[in-house]
Amino acid sequence: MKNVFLIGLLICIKAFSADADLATELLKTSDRGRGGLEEGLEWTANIETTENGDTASREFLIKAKKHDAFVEALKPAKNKGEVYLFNDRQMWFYKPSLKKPVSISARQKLTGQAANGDIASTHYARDYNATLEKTEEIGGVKYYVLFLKAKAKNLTYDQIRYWISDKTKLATKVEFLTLQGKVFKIGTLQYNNVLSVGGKNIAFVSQLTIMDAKFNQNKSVITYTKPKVVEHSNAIFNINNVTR
Amino acid sequence: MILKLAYLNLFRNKRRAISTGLAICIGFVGLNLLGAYIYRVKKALDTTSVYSALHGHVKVFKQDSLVQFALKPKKYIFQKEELDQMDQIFSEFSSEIEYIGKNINGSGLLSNGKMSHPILFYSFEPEIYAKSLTQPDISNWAKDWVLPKQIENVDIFKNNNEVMSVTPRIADIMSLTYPLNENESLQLAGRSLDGDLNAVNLELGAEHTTGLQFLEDTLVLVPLKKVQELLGTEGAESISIYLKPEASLAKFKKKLDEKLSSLAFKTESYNYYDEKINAVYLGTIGFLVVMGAFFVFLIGTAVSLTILNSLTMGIIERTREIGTLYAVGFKKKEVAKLFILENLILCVLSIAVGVLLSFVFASLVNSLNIRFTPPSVTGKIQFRLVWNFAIAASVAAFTLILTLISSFVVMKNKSKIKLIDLLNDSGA
Amino acid sequence: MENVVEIKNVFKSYQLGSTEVHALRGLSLKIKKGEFAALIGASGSGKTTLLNLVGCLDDADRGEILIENVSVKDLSENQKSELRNQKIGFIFQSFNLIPVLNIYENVEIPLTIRTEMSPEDRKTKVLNALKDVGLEEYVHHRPDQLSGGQRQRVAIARALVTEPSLILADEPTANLDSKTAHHIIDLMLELNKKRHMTFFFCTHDEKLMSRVQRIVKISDGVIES
Repeated sequence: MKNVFLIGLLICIKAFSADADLATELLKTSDRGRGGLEEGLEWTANIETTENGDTASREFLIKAKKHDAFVEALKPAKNKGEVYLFNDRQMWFYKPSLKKPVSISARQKLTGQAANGDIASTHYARDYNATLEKTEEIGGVKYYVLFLKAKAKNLTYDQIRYWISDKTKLATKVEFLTLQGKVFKIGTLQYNNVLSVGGKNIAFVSQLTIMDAKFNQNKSVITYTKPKVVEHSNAIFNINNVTR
Repeated sequence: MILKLAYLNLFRNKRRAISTGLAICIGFVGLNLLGAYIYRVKKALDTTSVYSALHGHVKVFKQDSLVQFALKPKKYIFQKEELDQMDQIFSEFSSEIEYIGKNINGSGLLSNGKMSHPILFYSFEPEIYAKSLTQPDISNWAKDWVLPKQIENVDIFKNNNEVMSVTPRIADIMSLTYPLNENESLQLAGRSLDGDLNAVNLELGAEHTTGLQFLEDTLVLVPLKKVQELLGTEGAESISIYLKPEASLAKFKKKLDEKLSSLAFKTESYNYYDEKINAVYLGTIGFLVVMGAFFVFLIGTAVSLTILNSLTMGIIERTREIGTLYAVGFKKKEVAKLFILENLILCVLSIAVGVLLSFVFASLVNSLNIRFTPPSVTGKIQFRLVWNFAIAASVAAFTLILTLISSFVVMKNKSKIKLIDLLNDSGA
Repeated sequence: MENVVEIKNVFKSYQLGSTEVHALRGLSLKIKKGEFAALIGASGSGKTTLLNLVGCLDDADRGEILIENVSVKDLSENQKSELRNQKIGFIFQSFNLIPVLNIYENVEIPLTIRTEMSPEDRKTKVLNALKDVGLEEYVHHRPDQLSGGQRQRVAIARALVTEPSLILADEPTANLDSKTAHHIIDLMLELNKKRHMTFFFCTHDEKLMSRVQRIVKISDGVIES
């Protein structure tokens, strides 16, 4: 009897740990479609924001390598030359007129609904603890719904609900939650870009739409174009070199 | 004759007259000094609100700006051309306006190249800052609430229009070393009117205190030009109007509101003590009023009871005399007048002594330079009692009214006794 | 001759502990103008009660009192005060002087509420009254600096300063030695003759009876003779 109980317990633990492993594995795979790769990458992101009836457009060139990213504003002209630098989880803002860079937070607003952290490559597998909340079927496709909890305080979001397609292993829907568990922004993702990595083509994010959960007319649409693998020198990610 | 009789009656029972007089005197001194303290704090709050906090006597915003500016700064900021139109209106009030300042307040990050600290920034214009901090009212009323260094800031700001001012607490949080001007520059980051992240360079060198603990780690002063650069505007969020001493605030504001209503854009103006722009003022004054009312109640009750007791005893002792006065033709109101007059004379004499005592006591307390830290205020301030004629006169009037009412109450009760019983009384 | 006081069937009782004392039981009496009348009777016969009612110091339970043909029954407290000030003077057994005031001021007291009177008139009347009682040299003395007889003279001066038509005195000589008592009665008689003032007073002093024009004896709350 005692043995039966132990075996039951072991099966349960095993099943739970298998779920957690699956969630982490799914997250790792889905991160690749959003720039979470070991290789150096480069793409352009155009952000169209509609907020309280006003529209604005921004364009950034993103150079990413592993956990670092160098984001340079291209448009509008007045912002040209402004740089957002991601060093692991540390983030900096710099523009040529500044004597020193400004340490900023990933969760601060970049523009419209987009936070600073949304512009760079995604490393959710590194930054969040994932659990499989449930599976759902949408349009005949099975989706894993993961619940992500931030491992550190300075991350872009405290909690995320993440829909990953079983078919593509890519995330297509995301809910951003407050620390209290309230959904405050909703995102949808598309993967129409193709990125050639080591001779293999992988799907790469082409659009991320982030809407205010309460006022869905307030939204930012990030369009990703010209993604490519590029060999970056580590020097471009050094804040001291940026300010020189 | 009645006055003389009332006066002479005071000397019948000297000990009681002295103890009653002393109670009135102490009550008067207590209320007067309490009034002096409240008056001092109110004047200090007035002065710091108008000049140190750069609110001016009247602050003008775009309508709904108080709530909406943080959300839609572009819509609620006064644009350059709107400021020009308002200047036209202000020029019509040259006999009342001493000077005018512009402000933009907001939130952002203060960064030293290594770390950033979230702050609130208040803008200032060096020449307006200089004028405001050198006002005689500041040295008269709020010397303790303005760091001596802040007065020195006047020259620092004039000489370098990139210098900002930080609090000692922020300097500590950001590991800034003294002297401040030997530190490298700081950067102020914030959102521009277009909603973009922006940052500007600022020089260190000046220091201020907010006077309030909860703002001490938050509030920095930044030159208006730098804030405008940060926000990408030539406009201003609000306009502070500093009035000449002889101007009437209420009349001015009424006339100004009338004139401003003719503009194409809607504005709203606030007095410096308005809760919407200066909650601390109202909170502090509210606290002082409640505290003052409590003490007025306590002291008033003690004085009233003493007068009631003294008068009752006096009447009991002189019952037959009262009967005699009635017998020779005095009416009730004439007898009452005699006793009330007696107490009023005692009250006036006590107040006269009280005026002298409170003046001496206030001088003594002030010369001792007792310092304390009021709740939520940063640093120690001097416990100063400012003797003021208006307060002394009000307290004197209050004490006299209290005496009058107490005397009236006793007389009203005693006048119910039958005349024959008064005459037959053998005296206490 | 005209009546200064007319008392018609007056009743007065009061509570003494749990007992109701009937002080006056249907008493009627007339005092004519210029009379010098003494009210005598045993203790508790109702002398003081009667005097108090005539002086409007107390109210009768029943019956009517007229002072110079004016019924006091329907007068308000203020009207009674005016009546006392203008028509009645009081002399009390224990003088009832105000100790903090000097002699002049004590005599002046009833005149101080007469706002229509000029200060000069007032002064003349006070000095005349003091002269009438022989105390014109004591104006600045206080009551405690005077003898009992002198104090009663002051009280008499205070009573006559308003030139009342009736002076009521309750045992005016009771606190004085017999010699002084004689002098006080002499003075009252002199004023009665000189100023034609009506005196109605109660006394126990048998020696005074012979000098009194009219004796009214009261017994058990009614007039005996």
